[in-house]
Amino acid sequence: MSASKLRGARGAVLGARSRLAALLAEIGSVRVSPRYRGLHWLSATAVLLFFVQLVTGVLLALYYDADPGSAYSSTRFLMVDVPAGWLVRGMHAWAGELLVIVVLAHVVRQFLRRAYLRPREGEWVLGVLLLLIALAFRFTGRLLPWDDIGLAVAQRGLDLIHAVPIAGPVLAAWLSPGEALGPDTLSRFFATHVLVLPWITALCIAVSVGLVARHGLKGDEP
Amino acid sequence: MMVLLHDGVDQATVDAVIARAEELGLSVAPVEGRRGRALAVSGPELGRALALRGTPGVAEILTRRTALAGGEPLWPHFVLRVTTLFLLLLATLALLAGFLPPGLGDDGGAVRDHAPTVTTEWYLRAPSAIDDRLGSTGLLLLGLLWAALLFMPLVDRFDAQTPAGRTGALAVRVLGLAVVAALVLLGVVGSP
Repeated sequence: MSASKLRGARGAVLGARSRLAALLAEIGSVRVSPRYRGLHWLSATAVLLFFVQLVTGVLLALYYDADPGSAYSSTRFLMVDVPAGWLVRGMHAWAGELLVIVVLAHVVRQFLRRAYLRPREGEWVLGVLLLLIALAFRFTGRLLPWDDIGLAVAQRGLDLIHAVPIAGPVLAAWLSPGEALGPDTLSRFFATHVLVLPWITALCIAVSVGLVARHGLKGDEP
Repeated sequence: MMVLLHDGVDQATVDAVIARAEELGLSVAPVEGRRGRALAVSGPELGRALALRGTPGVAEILTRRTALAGGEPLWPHFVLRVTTLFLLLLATLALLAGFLPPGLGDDGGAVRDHAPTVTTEWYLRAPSAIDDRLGSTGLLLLGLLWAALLFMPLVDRFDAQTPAGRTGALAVRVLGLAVVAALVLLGVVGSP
């Protein structure tokens, strides 16, 4: 490599470094609203719980086998034979439970504060969607161990969804294509749980954070 | 852009802030907001208003609705708080997982010939109870309730500046709480 090309490459690296430094300085100079205190932390807690769900979910997926013949045994193996497997599964399950409670508390609080009024309609809609998604996470995740409790819960839930007029039968058919719970149901629940819902959640959280950064918190207006 | 002033700031300090803003080529109009005294700043070089940060009497500088100054810095203060919360959450989750582990029933493949006697998850109890009592009409109403929640900005159009609007807004909140209480009650006493 000639000396001029080397200087050019070094300049590009230095330029990228300075741009990165400028970006970090810009992020570092961002200030959080002084009103972000108390129950406002419910939103940060929800994001952290989702992060725990992601990390523990990936660890669980390393051992889980989404097949009715081996789903139960793989879950049992994870809990009994894998070091700290029981801990990872327990944290994943509890994080999901707490996520529903935290998002529900956040939505109720925003409702009582009328934080859905202009210009925060977007944040409100995303909050309600996140509550539905948190419930969907719980529902789809419960079937995955393929134990008798999970099957009963899934069957009852699918019956309820099916009974909702208009959209219910379509959604139930998408989640469970056959007459009875079987391999197709498990793979659809698994795909929804690990592929569809996490991406939608991440998108909702990203857009929500962006909207809050743009509009500020309720009460920021002078 | 708004420059918020400290509570109880004297007129001489306010005049000094105005003079400083005008030095920077900005137009200033004093206003009385819900959060106290403020200066509405305008001009072609609006970004110069940030130079007012640190001027005696200035509490916070707001651009549109976003706090630029006066809040907690993202780094390191806020990040450290979030990290602390994260560690507390991890500890809580580990304790819950240790003392109240999630159950694992019998193998679903082996017991398919008989219906297991299990209690439905808590979030399904209210819809189950509604389905048992009202059938699909009740479930449709529940779906409409979710839709109303989603479109709350369109449902609640009351103007809180007027007495009638305040009453309407209060009614919406009371109604919302009553629905939540009813669903929780159904979840507790409802069928498994």
